[in-house]
Amino acid sequence: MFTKADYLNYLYVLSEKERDMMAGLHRLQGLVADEALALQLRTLLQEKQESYEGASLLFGRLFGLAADQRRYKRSPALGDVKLRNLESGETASCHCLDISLGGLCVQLAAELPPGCGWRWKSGFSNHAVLSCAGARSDGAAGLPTGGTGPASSLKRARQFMAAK
Amino acid sequence: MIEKKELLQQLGEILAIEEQVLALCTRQLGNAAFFSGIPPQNRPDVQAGLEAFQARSQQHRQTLENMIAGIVSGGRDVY
Repeated sequence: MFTKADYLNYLYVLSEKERDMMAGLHRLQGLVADEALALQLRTLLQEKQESYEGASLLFGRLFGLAADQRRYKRSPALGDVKLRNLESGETASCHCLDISLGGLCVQLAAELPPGCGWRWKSGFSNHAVLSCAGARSDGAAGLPTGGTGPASSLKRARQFMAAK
Repeated sequence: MIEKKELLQQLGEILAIEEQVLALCTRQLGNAAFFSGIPPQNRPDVQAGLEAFQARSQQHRQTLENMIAGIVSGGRDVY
């Protein structure tokens, strides 16, 4: 028999895959100069966002589950982010996948050492200070804010995404 | 601008994830055990929701396949 944990895991896997596709489509849309193709990518991205939200709502309504058991709900926030190490001044470019009151999830080519402090800059914020919690094998890294929650950044990220 | 080869590679990666999503949906829709933990009165809603999700995923797969086919057969090197 499936347990609540099994359903949570199933929804989590589905939502991670949908998010990865959204990030890929968003990245491609920014690279493509052909207007007709860019429009197709934008349309598909929009449909993916609706599909992602729809699945989360369905499971949430029926089981009282969220896509994961994080403290704060994550919102898609696709865009380029620049990180600067607070100690060394080293910079890194990455792609933001989502944002919550608890932090950011970004995808980057190089691995960030856990525990180090970073300042980030993007189209929707430029001041929050984060520390790296760890990275997944596919390059996604969690950057929690340590519970101090950049509420204004989250608000701006939602406005930024809504305006796209 | 993006070169055709790079564009096809990235679209192929997105399509591969879509295939995984479809496989996940199909496997559970045909799995009676998946519905066993859901209260009987909610099962039709879950099944309908998953079927709708699967149908959208199939449409997205078709869109991606059409996109890739158009680019493969197109004569351009950059997009």
